[in-house]
Amino acid sequence: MTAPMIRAERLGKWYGPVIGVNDLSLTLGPGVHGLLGPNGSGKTTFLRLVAGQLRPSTGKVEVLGASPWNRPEVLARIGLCPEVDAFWEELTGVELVQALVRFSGFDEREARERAVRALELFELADVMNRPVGTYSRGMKQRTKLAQAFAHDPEVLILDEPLAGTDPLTRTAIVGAIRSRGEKGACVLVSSHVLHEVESMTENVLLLLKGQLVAEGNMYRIRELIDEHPHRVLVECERPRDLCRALVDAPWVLSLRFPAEHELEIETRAPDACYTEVPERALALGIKIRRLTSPDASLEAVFRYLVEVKHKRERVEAPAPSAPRPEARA
Amino acid sequence: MSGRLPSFGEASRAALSLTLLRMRRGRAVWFAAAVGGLVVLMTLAIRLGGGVAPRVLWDAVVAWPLRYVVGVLVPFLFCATALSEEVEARTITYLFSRPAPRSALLVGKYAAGTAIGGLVVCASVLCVFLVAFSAGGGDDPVPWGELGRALGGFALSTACYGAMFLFFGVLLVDAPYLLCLLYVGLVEIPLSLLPSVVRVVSMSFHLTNVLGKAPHEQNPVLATWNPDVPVVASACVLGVMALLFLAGALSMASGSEYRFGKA
Amino acid sequence: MPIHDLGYKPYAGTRRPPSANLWTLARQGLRRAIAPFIVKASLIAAGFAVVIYPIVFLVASFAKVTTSRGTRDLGAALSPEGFVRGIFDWQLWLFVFVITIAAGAGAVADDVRHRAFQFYFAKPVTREQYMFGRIYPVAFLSFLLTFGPALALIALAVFVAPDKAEASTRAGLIFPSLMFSLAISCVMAVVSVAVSSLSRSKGLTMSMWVAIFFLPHMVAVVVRLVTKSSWLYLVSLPGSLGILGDAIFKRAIEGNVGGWHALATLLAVMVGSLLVLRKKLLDVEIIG
Repeated sequence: MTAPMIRAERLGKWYGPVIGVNDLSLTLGPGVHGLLGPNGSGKTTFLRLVAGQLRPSTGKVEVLGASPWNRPEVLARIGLCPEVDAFWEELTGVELVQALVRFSGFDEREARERAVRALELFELADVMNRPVGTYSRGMKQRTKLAQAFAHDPEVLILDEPLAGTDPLTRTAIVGAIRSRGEKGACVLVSSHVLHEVESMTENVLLLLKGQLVAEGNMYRIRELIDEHPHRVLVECERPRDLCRALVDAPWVLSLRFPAEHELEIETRAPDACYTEVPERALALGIKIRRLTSPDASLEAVFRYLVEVKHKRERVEAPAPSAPRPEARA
Repeated sequence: MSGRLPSFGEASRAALSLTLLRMRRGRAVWFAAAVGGLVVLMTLAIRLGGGVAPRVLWDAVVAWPLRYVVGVLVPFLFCATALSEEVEARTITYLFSRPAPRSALLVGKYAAGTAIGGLVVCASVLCVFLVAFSAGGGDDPVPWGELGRALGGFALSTACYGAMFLFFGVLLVDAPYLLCLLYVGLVEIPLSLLPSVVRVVSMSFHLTNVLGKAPHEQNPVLATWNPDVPVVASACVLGVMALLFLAGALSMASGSEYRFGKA
Repeated sequence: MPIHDLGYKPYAGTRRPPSANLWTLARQGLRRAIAPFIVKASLIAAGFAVVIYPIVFLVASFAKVTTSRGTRDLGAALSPEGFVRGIFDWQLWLFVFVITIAAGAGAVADDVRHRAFQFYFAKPVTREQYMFGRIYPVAFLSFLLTFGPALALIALAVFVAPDKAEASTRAGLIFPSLMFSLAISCVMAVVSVAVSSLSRSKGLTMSMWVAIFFLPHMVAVVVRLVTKSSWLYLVSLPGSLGILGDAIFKRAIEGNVGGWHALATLLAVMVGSLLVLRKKLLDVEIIG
């Protein structure tokens, strides 16, 4: 078994009364790992804890066997691409990356060579002698990635690395991330967009309200998501007539009237629902004003996963020290 | 090959060269040079106007604009916001994610600020001296020894004020100017006016002592209240205070999460 | 059965004209200006000043000093207009300067650094309204810090006046105090905010303001010491304000400059500062 590269044990972080990360335990080995979660779920806090920029409030986090907080020997093996768009804008791209690589223990010549190589990897060779202040958002994003990759770290922490990039650049970035993962580095990539992470890895961690709600293979989690009963809200003129027409449909789980002109359908087959509801309404001459799904957001899926987790916890009633009931594949 | 662990010296040198590179591109150095240049120009204007004894002119310029403005403002400019600017701009995230000890980063920034600040201040002092005594020392010979003392004294005071302001900036990153202003307004200037030994708390008293001048010599009452402190002791106070405040700043910076610790 | 249309309905109420943004910006600016601890502390300290100056005045009015040459009545020699004029210097050098450092000298630099222009200028806000919104809070606070203590002191001086004629003379100090407070607050606010637009670095703009406030004054002190000429006080903001104050209070002006010189200099400085600030704001391109 490969030694864990990142290990968190009952990790918690509070910002005063606000919980950033709550009782999080996990072990990550080499390869690319996607960290998914809606805004405010604690992704950035977790990444900062792993990068040694925050001190845990409870529990512990270890990178390559040691705590990263204030430990230069650990930080030497970590590369961080932060979420914030902050630069010394008066420096050129190559000067910025070179200056940061020098802090990783390389002499000036070696640091420059590495900076140039990293900027070339992210297709910034032609603009690397321009001040960073003149870069577009995508270029700045790639500069951040270049400084994280330049010293060949064993652990790469990338916070929203695809933010603000165009499709072509995304392909290049995804390729670089995958290649680093294949070479044995542990790459932790955060995003709140499912398909972004899907293009890089099958291993995902789902975070919600600071808690790890699912961990494992992307396809197993997708299956879970498909099991999730969808709600479809229909706003129409005669919801009760439409209800009568739908009540015998095999894909309907339940029907309710949340408001006077609304009908809410619960279904496990949203595709069939979206096809058949307009057809049956048309047959009855009912005018549909709106057809929406309140469950379309990733957050709704996560909420569902939390419910699944709680249900399983109730059924299995595990001992406090037992492993977490994640949706492991 | 993963990143290597840099030594304290390597990390400090990296921080120093990054800070110097940024200073070269920024406006702060030009501004500091303009402040020093203005004092030199003023000295030149008075000198050309004639009728003023070189010693009177030199003493007056050292006692007021050089000691109270250039000598305090320049270190403030380069050291007070050394860390807070990085925190405010959130570029600190790059520095603190590197394997360089935080103390080494701060030492590098302090060294760059003090070096450039000291250079500007000492260049101003030198130019003022040369302008004031450009036509000789009047009835007396040109006091070259005094120039040496002035350069040494102002270099020491720049190091001392720089370390103090760096410490205040690290202590209160959200408003680094606040403590600096309170210190200068409530301690540095008022205490230098108070009688006898209370004055030794003020660094400007020690600077004046190193320069070999009686503080407030224009005012007969204030001048008589001057405590008798050996020049070497004053120089040591300036040096030791610089080291103490620098150590304080380094220890403060090592344990803080800065703005990462906000939700 | 009523049918509720839950669709988008445009706002049908009245809207305030874009010119009303002026006061919205001013109010928002004032709230922002008093947020720093040092501004609150200055305001509180100035509150004490409102009490302390009258107490000092009261004590001085009734104090008698006994020396070997006999007992001397201090109150007889005390000049209320000199006393009132004197507190403006204290307030200017201590509290008003602190307010301009904390709320004025970083105001525009802060907005540039935090990329706030993209929000302000995406709304129907003109550059001039924005300028007013940044200058007004500093001027308002400076005015409070200068006129407040002066008014309290004048009220007491009127109350303890020996006769009606003297009380009326003392009450007449309100007008020069008002004029001088307005001059101090306008000059200090306009120049400090203009300086704040010269760089995106707050540290640099604050240092610039400190230099602009102190350095010319120090230079003027040196020039007066060695040449006995007071002309250079005109290039010092506190120096010019001091000369103007002496002229407003009809007190003897030291040296060879007059109140009109100071007034002309201060007006030129204010107009120049406003032009610099306006140009900086007009030149700004909003990059998100």
